[in-house]
Amino acid sequence: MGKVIAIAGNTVREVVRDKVFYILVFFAVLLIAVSKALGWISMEQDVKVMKDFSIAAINLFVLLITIFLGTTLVYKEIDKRTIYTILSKDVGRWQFVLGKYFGLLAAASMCMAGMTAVFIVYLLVMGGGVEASLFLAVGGMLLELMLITSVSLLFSGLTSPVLSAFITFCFFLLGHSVEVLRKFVEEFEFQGLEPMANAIYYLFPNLENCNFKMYVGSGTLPEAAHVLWAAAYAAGYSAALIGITLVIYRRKDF
Amino acid sequence: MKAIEIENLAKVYRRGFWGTRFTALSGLSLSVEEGEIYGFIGANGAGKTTTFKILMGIAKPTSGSARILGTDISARGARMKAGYLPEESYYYNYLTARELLRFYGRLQGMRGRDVAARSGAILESVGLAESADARLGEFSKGMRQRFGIAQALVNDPAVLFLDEPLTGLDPPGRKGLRDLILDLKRRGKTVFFSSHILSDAEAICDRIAVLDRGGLVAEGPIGKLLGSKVKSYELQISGAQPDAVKDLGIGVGIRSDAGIVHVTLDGTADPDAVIDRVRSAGGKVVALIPVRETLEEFFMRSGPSGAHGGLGGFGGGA
Repeated sequence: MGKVIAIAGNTVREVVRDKVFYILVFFAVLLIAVSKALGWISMEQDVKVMKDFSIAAINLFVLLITIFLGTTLVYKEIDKRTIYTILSKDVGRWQFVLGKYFGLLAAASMCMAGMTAVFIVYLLVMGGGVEASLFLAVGGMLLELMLITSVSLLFSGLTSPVLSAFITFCFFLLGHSVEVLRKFVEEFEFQGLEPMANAIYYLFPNLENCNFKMYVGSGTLPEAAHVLWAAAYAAGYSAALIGITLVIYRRKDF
Repeated sequence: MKAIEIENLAKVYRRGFWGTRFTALSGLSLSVEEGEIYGFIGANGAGKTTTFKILMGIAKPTSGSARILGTDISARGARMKAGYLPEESYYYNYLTARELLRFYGRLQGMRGRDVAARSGAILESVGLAESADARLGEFSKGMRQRFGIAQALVNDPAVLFLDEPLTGLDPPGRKGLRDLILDLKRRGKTVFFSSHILSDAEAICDRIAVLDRGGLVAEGPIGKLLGSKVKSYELQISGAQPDAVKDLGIGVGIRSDAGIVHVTLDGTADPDAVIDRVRSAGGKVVALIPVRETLEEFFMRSGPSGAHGGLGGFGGGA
């Protein structure tokens, strides 16, 4: 496990020394700051708007950072041949894949934690309150992050960064739409499309399972079983994708 | 125990949309003894880097097997006692030399404090002690190459695999690296290295293998491969005019430099008889130098299919 941690630590270091990372974080913080302005133009809903907007901004920028890092870092390792000096050491390919995965996840999580901390401080300064649902929403985003990171890692070693970023983004969009798509096909009885809707539903991750943002400011919380199911689902789906990545990397020539 | 054993190693790549087969390595067999410097010589595309990549677990062989210090390369721990410098090596530009050594040490299962204890000495041995805390992104090509050697040495390996280590270095850098390789041999290490710079290989290798189009075409000690046959002699004479020497009719080429007449004699000439004739004409023989085939000439004759000579001369190999 020490080698996985070493590769993960190196990945985190690579991320935090990349200027693009700070540019994305800067824009996220800027959007959080701007959220107050949006709050002012809404009638007596300023804190609610501020929370919704800021959480959406954190979600968007963490997604962008995850896609950017996930699709470029492994590709760069292969393209720049730094992977040669790793695999030639006493390192199994599974250790490389897991190290990269946990490194990317740790970097994106740190980034999300940083943005959330800025948001909470800003919220308190602006007179808003911090409730448990806010942390639950962030936890849900973390589960989504686990899934998206495993998708980006799978494709980053197979294709170019642009294409793998596109595929990962498609996973994100479809992941938030699979439930709606299936219900839509069922409701309007598009019988010919049902098999396709079902295939998409089972093939793509259902990211709405991890979406707890609707509880922020509502005064309610989901049942514990729902949260546990979401965590198990995200962990299971991510593990399956990492498993596929491991099989591909085991056979791959670099 | 052999340091490296390679048996019938083959690698076929599939390229392009249609998966066209390309044979990079075909039935390569060789073995390297512990403590020797083994040169792996071949033109571009001969299969040298593919061999290194297979031995280092970066590529999978299509068939055949290989062992490092008796351990099969597919087994865990096969590279525990190996160090590798890739050709045109790239490193993480955002890390310092010391940080990167620590990272590579941990990948070899070393504890942080053990790597820290070794880092200073390793960087000192490759002449990078003063740049230990500089980022790799600030290093020149020569410095990066020297760092490559340092990272290969981090775990104090018994066997070193150096793919084109001398490429891109200036003459002092090459000299320094040659000395370092010889020092490693003195310390009992085995060095398996490829090079395009044949004079360097000739200077330091105990044995060489010549690779062409993925197959071995010649292998053995340099002295044995080049043979003891004298190709020509260079005779140096003082106290005689070039025209007078020319009149003796002893050589195939005559030139004069700083009062010394240099005469090239055919390899079949009788040096004693020539010296007698020079002396009888009043000349003084300063030196008689036998000229043997160089590794470069041998390589051009036996190895590279793209160069003159083709594969003539050596039909061996696997």
